[in-house]
Order: sequence, then structure tokens, then C-alpha cells
Amino acid sequence: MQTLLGLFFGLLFGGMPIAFVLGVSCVIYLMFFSSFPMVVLAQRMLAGMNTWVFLAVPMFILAGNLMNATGITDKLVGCINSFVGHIRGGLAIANVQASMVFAGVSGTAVGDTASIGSIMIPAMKREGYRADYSAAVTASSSVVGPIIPPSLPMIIVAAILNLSVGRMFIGGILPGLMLGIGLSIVAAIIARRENQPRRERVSWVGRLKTLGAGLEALAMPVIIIGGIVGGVFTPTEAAGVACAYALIVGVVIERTLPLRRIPAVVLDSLIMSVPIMVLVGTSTVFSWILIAEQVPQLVAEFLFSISANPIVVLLIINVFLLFIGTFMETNAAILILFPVLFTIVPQLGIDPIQFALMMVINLMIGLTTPPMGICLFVSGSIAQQPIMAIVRKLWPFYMVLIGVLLAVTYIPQVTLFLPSLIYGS
Amino acid sequence: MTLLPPFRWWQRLCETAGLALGLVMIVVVVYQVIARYSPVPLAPWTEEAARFLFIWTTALIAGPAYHRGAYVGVDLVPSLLPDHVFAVWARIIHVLVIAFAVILMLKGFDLGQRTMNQSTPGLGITMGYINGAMGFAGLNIIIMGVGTLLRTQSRPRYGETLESAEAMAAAGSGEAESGVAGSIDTDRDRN
Repeated sequence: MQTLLGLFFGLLFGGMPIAFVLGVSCVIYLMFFSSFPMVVLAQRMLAGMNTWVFLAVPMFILAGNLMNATGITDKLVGCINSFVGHIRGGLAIANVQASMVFAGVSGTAVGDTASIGSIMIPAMKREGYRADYSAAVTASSSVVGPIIPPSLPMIIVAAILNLSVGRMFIGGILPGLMLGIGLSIVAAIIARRENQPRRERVSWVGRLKTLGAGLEALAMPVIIIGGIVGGVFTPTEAAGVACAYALIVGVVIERTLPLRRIPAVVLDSLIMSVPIMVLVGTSTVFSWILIAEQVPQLVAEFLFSISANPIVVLLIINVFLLFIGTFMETNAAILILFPVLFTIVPQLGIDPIQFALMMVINLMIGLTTPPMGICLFVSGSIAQQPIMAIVRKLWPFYMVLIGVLLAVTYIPQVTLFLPSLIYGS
Repeated sequence: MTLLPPFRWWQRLCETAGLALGLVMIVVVVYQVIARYSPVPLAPWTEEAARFLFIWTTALIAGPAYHRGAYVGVDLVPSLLPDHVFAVWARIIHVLVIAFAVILMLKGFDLGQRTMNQSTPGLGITMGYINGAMGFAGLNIIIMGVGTLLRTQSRPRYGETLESAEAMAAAGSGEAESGVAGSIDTDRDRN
């Protein structure tokens, strides 16, 4: 087992793609340290991928990309600006709120950063906001993307831990709203302190016009969440319906998405999602080996040897995941660590949905932290600012992210109230 | 980084086939929803068909995605290496990935062959054709891995050759995950 872990970490920090780090580690283990036949590699990989829920991954990515290609993001930002742009620091607040709404379309934090950031960061810079601050607001608000449904990390977590995708989606709504409101408040406080600019107030007629234009984007999360909660379709089917809706909006209603462009958008979405599925495959074999070697039990024993108090154990897990999130890609961290950490849920006396959401939110924070926070890189690239300059502006926003994480960790109602209300306890 | 012609043709073939299967998968999933709420007869095979289409889509795109550098890794330590060491290390990584893909190909086709006498419950097709997808995924990664190895100066990173995504970013669509990682590469190249 030490050899397997040594090889794993060596290749991981050597820069090999994580999907193949897991694959090579598993091959070495099966070849030299186990009596299992090598065909297990292909068989377990296939079993991991052959899951209905995972079909939602490429389809939600495609739906978000199609909506983006339609140019819906501009309208959405225009709509939100017309409502909050007149407040001091209104563009920063609009940035956060646009991320919240776009979260209902994209399901990924990076998608949020790129889409909203490419519009909001130049606009904020034009109106006199500091570039590093604009990038910081964009990066921090993108964390909301995978917390408000639909959420790709939640789909993956639900699939590997056998949890209800619907419950996880609904459980993410309240923490997502808390994050959005908290980040907006911080942006408003900073705006007052720094005397940031404000726009002219838009009349109600103007607001209603922009609302009409942004309605197509606003309808997407309503269709997805409404359909899942109402039992009209499963989360995977919701992803298919979202694709069909995005196509209808782009090709028929808006006519801004030419048919010849669709194959490129679909191919891009597949190129983004297939590596996730290969990762799912190899991590399934890796998890299977860890379980065969009783690693989850060893981890549980280790954690409870530090403290038997669930509050302390949860704190340790959070600190550990925050550390992991700083350098490891989210989906890889989920697929490698969650099955191991999830085994201690019964001993902690915590609801599985709450625990899973805690871990997802925790890893999302890692997207905004150096050295490997992808949202930092994306927003920094758009704003043309160095990473550390953005991080200096991020500190107040980190407080909100950590605050919500702690609330999710220690107050069950934050994640469980809505699922209990809708699905029953 | 342009592939040599035979590898480029293979890439186009796999991407076109994967694209077609991916689109059929979406149609099948949407049909499943429509069929449930309309007089259209509800087919019992849709879920199984969608899963199998996705498995084969994954197998077909796995190779081109490798060439395009879409598999993410932790490149903190390699990025600190001097350029000439980095180039050698990148090739070693390629070779290790290809070695893994060889095992996956052999064992994937082995699994397919072992299950040629089993049928899928919904569609009734031979299970070996589905299980064999893992073998094809291995073969695909080998071909694209060798193609990339022959032309590479450094390890591919996400988005390095993502032509269509770059076009999308230029059009303001925000496929910037690739574009930005690409810019990190550019920075390194510049340095």
C-alpha cells in the first residue's frame, strides 16, 4: 500500500494528468501487489462510467455552453445592472448576483468566472473600479456556480456516494443564496469605504424591458429545478431538457446561434466532459483498491485517534480539504477522497447530504486560492492582473466563504431545511 | 501543435464519430422525457441506449482529448523545472500514459471478448461490444499519445490545441477554461 501511495503522489506532483496517475498506480498495484486479475482494471472502469447519473455531466456542460454561445450572458448582466447598478459599488454587486443567476445555467465555477468575468471585469474597469478588485469579486462570486443547482460536482458526488441528486441540488440552494447575499454585503461595504462609482437609476419601464430580455436565461434554472422538484424528470433528463431548451433559445427564438456553430460547441463540451469520465473510471478502480486495503477504516481510526469529538473531526476534515483544494482539481479530489472520508459519516452522526455538501463547498473555495485556483487564473487573465494582487483583494470575500462553510458544517438546517421541506425527512 | 497527417485523420474520425454519438445520446434522453408525457410509446431501452452511447462517446473522444491537453494535472512542480528538463520530463509522462493505455487496450478487448456471449437486458445487443469500448479507449489514447509525442516540445496542457474552444472564446462565448490555461503555457513559452 505504501508503494501505491508513494507512486501516486510521485506521479501526481510530477505533473501527470490525474486520471492517468490513478490508472498507472492501479496497474502497478494489480501487477505486483495483488492476486486480482488485471482485467479488473477495464471491468471496474467500465462499471464506474456506466452510471445513468453521469450522463448529466456532458449535457449540463453543453447546455451552459449553448446558452453562452447564444449571447444570453450579456442580457442577463444588463438585466441585473438595471436593478442594482444605481447602488454605490453597484457593478460589483451586479457581478455577484449575475453569478448567482448564471449558476442556474452553468453548474461550474470556471464557466461562471469566464462568462460573467468577460463581461463584468472590462465594464467595472471602464467605470473606475480597480482591476484587481474586479477580478477578486468575479473569482469569489464564481464559487456560487457549483453550489446553486445545477452543479456538476454535486452530480459526481451523488453518483459515487449513492445520494439523491435532487436532494443535493435542493440542499445547495440555501448555502448558495447565503454566499451570494454575504458577498454582495461585503461588496457594498467596500464600495462605501472606497467611494466606488454608481450608475444612474434606470426607470421601471427600462428595468422591465431588460427583465424581458433576460427572461430566457432566468427561465433555465426554473425549468431545471422545477422539473426535478416537481418529479417531471430526473436530474439527468433535466440536463437533456436544458440542452433542448438552450438550442430552441439560440436557434429558434434568438437566432443568434447559427446551426453550423453547434457541432463546435458540442465537441468543446465533450472535450471538457470526457476527461472527467476517464477520471471517474480510473478513480473507481483506485477507490476499489483502497477499500480492498481497508484504507477508509485506517483513516477513520486516525481521525478519531486525534479527537472523538465530531466537532473537532469535522474541523480537521475541513482544514484538510481546504489544503487539498489549493492544489488539486475539484473533480479529482472528490473522486479520490470523498469515498474514503464518507465512511466516517455514521460515527459523526451527521446527515450524509449535509456532509457531502460541506465537502463540495469546501473544495469550491480552493478554486479561488493560490497556487492552483483556476477561477483566480481565469479572472486574473481577463483583468490582466497578477494572482497575488487579486488574492490581496480577496480576503474580505474569503471571510464570507469560510463563514458559510462553517454554517454548513455545524448548522444542519442550512443544508437540510429545504430538502426536508420538499422531499420529507 | 499540428499532428502528422495519419494522426490528424484519426483525430477527425474519432471526433466526428464521438460528436455524432453524443448528439444521438441527447436525442435519446430528450425522447425519454417526451415519450413519458405524450402518446408516443415509452421505450424501455432508452436509458440503456443512452448509457452505452455515452460509454462509446467517451472511448472515441478520450484520445483526441488527450492530444488537446484536456486532462488536468498538478503541474506546480514541473512548472519550476528548467525548460530542457521539463521537455524530457514531459516525454517521460507521455510514455507512461501510453504504457497505461496499452494495458487498458489489452484488458479492455479481453473483457469484451469474455462477454461476447452475454446480452444487454434492454437492447439485447452483445455485451462484448459495450465492454470492448474500454479497449478502444486504450487504443485511441495510444494513437493520439504517440501522435502527440512525435510532435511535442513540451507536455500538452489544457487548451493548448483546443482550436474550436479558442474560436468560441474569440466570439465571446467564454470557453475560457481552455483559453486561460493556454495563456499559462504561453507565459511559460515566453519565459
